[in-house]
Amino acid sequence: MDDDEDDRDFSRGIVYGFFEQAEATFENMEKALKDKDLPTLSSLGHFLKGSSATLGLSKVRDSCEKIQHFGARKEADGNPGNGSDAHYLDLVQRTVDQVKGEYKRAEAKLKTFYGET
Amino acid sequence: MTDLKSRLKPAFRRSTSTASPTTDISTSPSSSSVSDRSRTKSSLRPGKSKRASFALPVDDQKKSFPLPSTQSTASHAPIPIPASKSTAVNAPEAEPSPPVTTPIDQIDNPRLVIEQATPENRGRSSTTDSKTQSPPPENPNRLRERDAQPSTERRLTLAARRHSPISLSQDRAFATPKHIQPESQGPLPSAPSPNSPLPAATMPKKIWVKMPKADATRVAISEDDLVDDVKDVVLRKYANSLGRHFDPPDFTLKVSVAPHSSRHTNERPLRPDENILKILETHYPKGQSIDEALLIDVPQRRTPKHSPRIPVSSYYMTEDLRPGENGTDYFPPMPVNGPHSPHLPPNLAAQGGHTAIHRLPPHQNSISVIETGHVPNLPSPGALNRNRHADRQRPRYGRQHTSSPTVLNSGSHQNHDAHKAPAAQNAHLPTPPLAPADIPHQTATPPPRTSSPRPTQKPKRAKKSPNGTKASNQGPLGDVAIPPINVLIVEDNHINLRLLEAFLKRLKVRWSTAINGEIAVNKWREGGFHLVLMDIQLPVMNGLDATKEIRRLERVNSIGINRGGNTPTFEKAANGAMMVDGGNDPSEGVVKKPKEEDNLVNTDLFKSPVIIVALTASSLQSDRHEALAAGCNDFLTKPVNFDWLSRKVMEWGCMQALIDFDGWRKWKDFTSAPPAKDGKKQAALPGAKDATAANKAPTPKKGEKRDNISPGGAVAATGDASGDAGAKKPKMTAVEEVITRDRGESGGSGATSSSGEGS
Repeated sequence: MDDDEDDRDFSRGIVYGFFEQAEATFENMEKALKDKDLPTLSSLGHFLKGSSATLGLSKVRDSCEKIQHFGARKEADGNPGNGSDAHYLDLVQRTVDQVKGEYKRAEAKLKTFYGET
Repeated sequence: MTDLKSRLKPAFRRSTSTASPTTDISTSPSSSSVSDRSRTKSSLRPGKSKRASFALPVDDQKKSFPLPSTQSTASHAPIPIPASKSTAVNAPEAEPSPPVTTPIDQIDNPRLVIEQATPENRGRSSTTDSKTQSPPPENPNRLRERDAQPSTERRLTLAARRHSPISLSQDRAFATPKHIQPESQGPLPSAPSPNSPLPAATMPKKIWVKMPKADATRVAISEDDLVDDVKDVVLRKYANSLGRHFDPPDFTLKVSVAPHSSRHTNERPLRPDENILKILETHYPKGQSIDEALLIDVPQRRTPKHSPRIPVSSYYMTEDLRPGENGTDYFPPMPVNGPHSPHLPPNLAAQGGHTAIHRLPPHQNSISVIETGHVPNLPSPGALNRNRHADRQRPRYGRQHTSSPTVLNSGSHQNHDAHKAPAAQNAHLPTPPLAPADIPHQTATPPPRTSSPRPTQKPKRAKKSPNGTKASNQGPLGDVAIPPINVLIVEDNHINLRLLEAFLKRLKVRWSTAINGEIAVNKWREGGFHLVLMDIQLPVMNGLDATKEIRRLERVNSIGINRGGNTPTFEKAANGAMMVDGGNDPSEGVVKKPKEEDNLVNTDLFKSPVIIVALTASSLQSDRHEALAAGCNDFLTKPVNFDWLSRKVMEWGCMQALIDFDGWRKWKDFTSAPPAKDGKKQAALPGAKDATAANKAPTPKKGEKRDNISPGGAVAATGDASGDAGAKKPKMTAVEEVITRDRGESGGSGATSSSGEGS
């Protein structure tokens, strides 16, 4: 989509925008975890899922989808679950940690890419 | 073969066992069996030509049978040449005489004998009982085949025949009358047959058949004929109407059970493997009357209308219909050849005479296909729907002009429009109109390639291509004319939003954004959007709710519903008094009224229901269904891919652009008429201002909008609006006469409506 191959302003803008967005989202997720706010977690997961999918960060996307499902008290595959809130909060917590790691790796690679050019 | 045998047998039988023809009613004088025999033989000889048809027993029958009843020629023959001539015709008469036991039998036999006598005779010798006299030694060879058949079978057939004879006798009875009154040969004479005194008759050798709503006719059958065989005969009988296009399995025969009797009038289709005689026996124990003719049930679809002339083309012609219609409505007619071009303009004016014009194009197209060797652009698979849609919309379009303030010149004005509009469209389509305001910098550097959102792979490919090719590299749709539509992107995620914006920018369509459902609905209410890309999961109001709301508003405002009827309903909903003028304008005055919160400001800008393409994050089928159920027209799965997006934009956009041709034309005039700079600025800036200030639609349609709005605008910002309109006028007039007119009219009506408002 870049108008100019040598100067990836457009994609760079989007990617760096995503970094901000992702980090902000992670903060919000932590906050929601503290508040034990599953619905918010779900929507945050969905939100980040959308943008990570757009950028093609599939691992991040998949994890975000799990967060979305757990937040909605569903199993990872989206099927309705019957665990307690605490159970799902725990799952979300773990998934958030995981997605952060995935995100960090993706971020590093992307930054390298844009750093080079 | 069996048929033949059976027929022959009786003859033999007679000859062998023959008693004197006692009861025989038949005309033929009772002659000694021997004499008959000789005659038959001789007749057979000449008749042998018929042999060829042996394979088709039915055929033979026909030939021979026809004489007595239906077939006029044959029937005539017997009369003049009763005994003397040896032709098959003679045979029947002669044979009747020999019959032995039951007159009926005799009668039957004669017929059979007529045709087959010769063969039988030959074969006879070897086979069964009847060897004695009848089998002339002469032709044995020919008939050999016959002999092969088991005698038992023959007997059976014989037995069967005995039952049947009555009908035969009837026939013969008729035959005799024929001699007397040669004229009455047709079905008419035969008709009486059922009435004839003969008792429990079994089968007529000839049966009545008829096409629906046509006269009945008789066909000859033999006793062992199955329904399938009868069909064969029927096809031969209806050589013209049926024979050309149908095979026996293609149609069905039906027995209508006593149609005139009160019992039951139901019809029963006959299965091919049923024995025709038995059927007739069971249904018409007294014999079949003309009224009881078997119905020939031909499937209607199978009759190709054009085939008689150009059999092959029938398929293509129907096929051509579609492109043709599309050609008029959607696609510029084929750019082809000289001779046709003169006709094209009239076609384009399709709105006026719909039916008449729709007939024409197919031919033109088909001819042009022949001449040019090119097939016209076929509509994409979805085109049919679109076409229908368009048909619905188009006329309404014309009407819109009249129902709107322009009532004054309805007729001529409309036509004028119709002519001009498409022409203009054709002229300009090739060059995709840019939204000047939106893409100023874009035009400077055309986007190089169609890259997908995936950043990693594409760049490589792009790099390989030399700089020079960038422009041509624009991508699958880059060079194609993109419909001049206005898209509303509803997406809360800024990343995605930016990407979508970039996509649309690349497609060079105008767009606006909304980050939640509520904003989306409000923006939509400003009008002028053709396409909405609607994310489903949104804060505040989610996409589904927003979609439902939009649909609801569309319904309330009768958008996309028959616009002709618009005025009244809308009137009621909005404000009766004001609407009388018929304009859309009055609604504006109403906007502030409490009950009218649902009213749209510029119904002008809502030519048709907006197309809503849902952006669904999940690929779950249920989500899609939900989206469609909410009123979305289509969906895209979320990591939106540029190719798909552009496809959707093309598909829906083209449709919408055509529906909203009016709006497009105004927009085009607006943008193209004034020198580029000026136009762009005007379009972009004031449009935006307007939108925010007066809650009015954005850029493109400003011209008309202004005019229409001005009366209503009186409430809010009259001075501004009128001033603006005034400023615009010169430009518009420069462009197209039509538009000037529009403006004039709308202005006039605006005045009236505003006056109404005042009162």
